[in-house]
Amino acid sequence: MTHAPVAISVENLAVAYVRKGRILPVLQDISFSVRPGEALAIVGESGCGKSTLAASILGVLPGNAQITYGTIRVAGLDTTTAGFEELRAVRGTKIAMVSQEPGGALNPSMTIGKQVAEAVLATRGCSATEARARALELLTRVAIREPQNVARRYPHQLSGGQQQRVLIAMAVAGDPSVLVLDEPTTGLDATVEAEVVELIGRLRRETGAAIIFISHNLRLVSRVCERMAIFYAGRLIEIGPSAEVIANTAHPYTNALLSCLPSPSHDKFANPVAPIQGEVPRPGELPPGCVFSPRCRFATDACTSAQPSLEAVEGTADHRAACYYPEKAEGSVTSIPIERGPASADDDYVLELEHISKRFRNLVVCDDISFKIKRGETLGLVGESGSGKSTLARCIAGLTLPDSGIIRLNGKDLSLRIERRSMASVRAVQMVFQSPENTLNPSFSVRAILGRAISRLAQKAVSPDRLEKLAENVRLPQVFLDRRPRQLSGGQKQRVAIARAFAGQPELVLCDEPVSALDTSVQAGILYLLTRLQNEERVSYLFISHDLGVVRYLADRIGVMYLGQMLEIGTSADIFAGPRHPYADALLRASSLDGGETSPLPAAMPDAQVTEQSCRFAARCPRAMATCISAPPPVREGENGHQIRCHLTLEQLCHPGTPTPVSIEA
Amino acid sequence: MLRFLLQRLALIALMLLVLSGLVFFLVQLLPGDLATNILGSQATPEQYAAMRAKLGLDQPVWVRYFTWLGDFLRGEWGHSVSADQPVRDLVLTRFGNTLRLAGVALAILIPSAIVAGVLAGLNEGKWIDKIISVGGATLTVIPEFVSGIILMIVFAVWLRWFPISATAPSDADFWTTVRHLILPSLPVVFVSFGYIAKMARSGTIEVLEAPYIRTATFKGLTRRQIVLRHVLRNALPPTISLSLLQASFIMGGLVVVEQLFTYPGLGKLLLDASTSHDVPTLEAAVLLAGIIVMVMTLLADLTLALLDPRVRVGG
Repeated sequence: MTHAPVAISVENLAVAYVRKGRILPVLQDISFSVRPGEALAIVGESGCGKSTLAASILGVLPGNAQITYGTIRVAGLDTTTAGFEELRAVRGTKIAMVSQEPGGALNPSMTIGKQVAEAVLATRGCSATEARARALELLTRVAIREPQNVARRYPHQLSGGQQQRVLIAMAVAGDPSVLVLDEPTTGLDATVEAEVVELIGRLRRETGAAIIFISHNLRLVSRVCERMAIFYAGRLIEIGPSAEVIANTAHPYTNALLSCLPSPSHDKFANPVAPIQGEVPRPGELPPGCVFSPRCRFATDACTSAQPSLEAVEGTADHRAACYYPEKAEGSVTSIPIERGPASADDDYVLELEHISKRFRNLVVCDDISFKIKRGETLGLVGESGSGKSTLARCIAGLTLPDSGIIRLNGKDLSLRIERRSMASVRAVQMVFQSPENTLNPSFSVRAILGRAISRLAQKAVSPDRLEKLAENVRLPQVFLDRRPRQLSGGQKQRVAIARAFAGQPELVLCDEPVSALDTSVQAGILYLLTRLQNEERVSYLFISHDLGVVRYLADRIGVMYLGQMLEIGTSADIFAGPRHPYADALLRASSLDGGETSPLPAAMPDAQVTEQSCRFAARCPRAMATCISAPPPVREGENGHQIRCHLTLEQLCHPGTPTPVSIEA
Repeated sequence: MLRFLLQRLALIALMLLVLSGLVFFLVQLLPGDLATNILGSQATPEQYAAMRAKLGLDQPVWVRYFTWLGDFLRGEWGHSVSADQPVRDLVLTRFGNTLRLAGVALAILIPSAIVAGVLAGLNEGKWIDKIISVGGATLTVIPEFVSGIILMIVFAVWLRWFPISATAPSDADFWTTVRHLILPSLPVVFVSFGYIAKMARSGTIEVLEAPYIRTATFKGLTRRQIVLRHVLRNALPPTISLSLLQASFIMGGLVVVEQLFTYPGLGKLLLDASTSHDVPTLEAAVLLAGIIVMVMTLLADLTLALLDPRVRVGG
């Protein structure tokens, strides 16, 4: 070990919650340190103790939690024992925090400028005028455009990405020596996420702060952090340089986390993503021996009798793992292939949309959208928030009434109004939403929710047999049937929501960001389930997501929407191979599927400047020309029905003649 | 915003119209009428019929209602038979008296209840919270006439800290007038205190748990700054708005208190006018009381909108 100064050191930390007189350990035996200028990622599923760790470091554990052992040293202060005033003295200057949910983390009744200036005033002695000036500098530093204007606004007037930038600006106001980021990109669009990650990387180089970046997305953090620590069930199970941990994984859990992220090497049938079987044990229900042993393929008697300690991996200096068989870790995941069903017939269309348009007052949300979905096919719909994806799905489901257009189901006209649709067509088109929390009625049991779906959608008598079969179909254990939604995890709730949609043998299921709110490990399980169900039931999907990795994995064809318009549509293979629309290109680079550096889009979504006469994307397009502003772009036709709405020809799109003016920082 | 305001004002006008009709017809259900009140029980049926004709009581009730309504809208509020005074003078004087009493009650109630509630919320679970919560709930269940009598006996009769009469001499200065009104306003304050304190308490606790309070803590602010700038700023608007909604309860409570302290206010007038079948006076008094309640409700909505930037500034 080196003797370089450390910005923060955690030693033998153990934290427990006291619930109903029982002491439930949430963190056990955690030791690590971060040097100035270094970034350490803390990775793990929900319930692994990541947020408890952040709260312990910052001295804000809830009343029912207590630190049972160990120390946390920041700037000579032990935050496990310090009182409010001692902590206050170091907050902002020595240690700062960016929390998740940027929307809730800003005071709703105070202007942005005041909130940032307040952070300046709290950390350095200066006048109110200086603080205001410094606040504007900070906003500029986190790449907020028009800082003067933004400073006068209230949090609800900003986008999620802007809110997160403001939070980051406040956190760096006092040049902290330790900066804790708690899931700073969760809930943000892929493009915005890339921008925020890029910002964090830049600030890191500028400030020299030690960074602790908490996330459930292993690949995401590996782009910013040179070291990573993997947490599982309250234990640190692997720690080391990011590249080393990814290339030379020494713990089966780390490998499982890596395997559940869809990558270009996956195939949804032959080599599907592998969900991690089982669940993170709750505090107080920890298994004997290694905490991961119940979910590990290689668990032996040794594993179930004692928790392995964190040992250096052979042949490395700084890579340690808590596993008896680190050499086996990489082979720990095997995916179970799904047998591919028969190919869909060329002219067997489940859904045909023609010229669907929808406006909300002056805002065009869907502009003349036409496409078809074949039986058993998945059409992925991508685009940033506000591009009209969800509205389009709601129009198809009949939940929103489009202004004009034709919807055909199995070749027959479908009424735009849901109350005029037959029960059979309502049954045939079902929807799965992003947050199962709000989809399932909290006062009904799962049995009642699914029972109602069977009686209404399948028009069958509810029998225990049918219920159990439906639950089995989505791999929801029987014991959950009698629970209420709040007693289920996010993934289990989404399984209930999927079972509900499949109760009446639907022909088309509209999935609106069904995995966006889930941990990556749970997401893999849902993706696997959706593929299997599609194959068994010959159902078609309209799959909406802002995560291009997920869409590439699942979709046969992809539509790219921007400000209500379909900019591009084509088969996944064609779009990923190119040529593709500059916007699709930007989305692809933002999501960085190949694991390389991401590059953010040039600018945030403009509200104005778009006229009927211009290309919608012109204001942000790195390849915009004069004609883009003056004339609507033509539709370029490629192979396999590939359509690109762009002034550039397919040939030009294939070969980027002009270098992109987007600056990509190395 | 202007559109919203106009809609609300139109709605208030409509509600007042319905209210006036309701009162007019309900009074007919009371036993006896104005003629018996004036003549007493010894009059002959002939005298009685003549008096009814003179007062216009022989006409159908709906004709009388519209006659009254037309006059009222023209500003001719009529003559109060029971008080032998123009209705307008009578009602407006009494209305002014009631406003004074209600003003003192609100001036005591809102600040004290909010301060107590916020204190309880900031010290959740501690003894100060328990005292305020239990005390507030206890005060709420004491009827105005009970607390009124106790207050009167203790503070006016025994301790002589406050005058027993609610009405100050006509040449009294502002503070003397207020001193006379403190005792009668307290019973009304007691009834609403617990409710408002509870609202302030739960609002404070809710805000304390909000993520932005954590953000404020991480900035390195002092507890005082966190409470003043972040907690109160978000906890108070809904509480203030809800406390204005208490105006209708206060109007109800004032009827009892004014009777108890023989204070010449709108509440006492309402009671007197309805027992003596003095319909024009009753109508005018009810409509004024209705206006107070409805305007306070509107104010409650407006305060909430004005204090919350999410409503005020829009998305």
